[in-house]
Amino acid sequence: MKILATVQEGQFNNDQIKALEATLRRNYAEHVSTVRITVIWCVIPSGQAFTNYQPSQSSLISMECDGGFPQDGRVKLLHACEHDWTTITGQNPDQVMLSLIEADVFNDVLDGNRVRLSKAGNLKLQWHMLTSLLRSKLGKGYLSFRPNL
Amino acid sequence: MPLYTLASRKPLSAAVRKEVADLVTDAHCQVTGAPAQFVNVVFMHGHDLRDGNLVGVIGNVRSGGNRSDDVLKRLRERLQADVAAKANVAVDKVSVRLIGVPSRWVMEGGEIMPEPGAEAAWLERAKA
Repeated sequence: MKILATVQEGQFNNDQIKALEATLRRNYAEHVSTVRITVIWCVIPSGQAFTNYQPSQSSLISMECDGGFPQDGRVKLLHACEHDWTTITGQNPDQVMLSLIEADVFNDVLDGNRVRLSKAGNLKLQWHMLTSLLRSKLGKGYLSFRPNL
Repeated sequence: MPLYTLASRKPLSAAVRKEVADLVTDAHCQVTGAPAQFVNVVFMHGHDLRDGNLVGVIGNVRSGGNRSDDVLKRLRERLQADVAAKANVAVDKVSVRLIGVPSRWVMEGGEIMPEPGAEAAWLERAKA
């Protein structure tokens, strides 16, 4: 299972990101499943994201689950994550979007970028992701990438 | 949500990014009736798009409620035309794909998001 967390560049330091990842993992294990999860951070460079017509300060966290996951469990997970996230970051809850998405739709969302790319574009993206994630894991201790190639 | 990502081969200038983000937000709000505070627009560049396209738009939008096929068709067409005009590219070089996500799967502002079309009561509750 995967978690994709999209944040703004420079918004959080490495310690905050590691603490956020730990809370996501803990809450996921408590409310959804103890299966192995991969957390990937997408870091948006300054000036490339907007919310409500303004430069964005939002964090967007999408988590994957099996089909048919019960709604009461989903609500508990999202509330727990929202509480921990805003506690660590000091963000207003309006700046945090969290979702628990069933696997088929989650993969549609994740594959969306691949679908719009050419074959060469896909190869470039895969290489970029591989090298970025490896470098980030070795240097920072978590998996992150920037979306520009 | 929605979250719109716009991928292009070449970077758009900061001014054009802002103008395109405004147009995408306008299009989403005017066609669907959703409030602007829900709308996120993210840009990325360096991507080789399929079919020679110059801009690729993907919108992760809430499904259900008042989001009929007709509404989604009008939204796709509006986004394609507006993005093409502002990015100064031909309309047929802009691809638009919308992916529906049930609103009950998403939380914003500490609340599960409303069904499309039921935003007014949700916003009142959120303000209280």
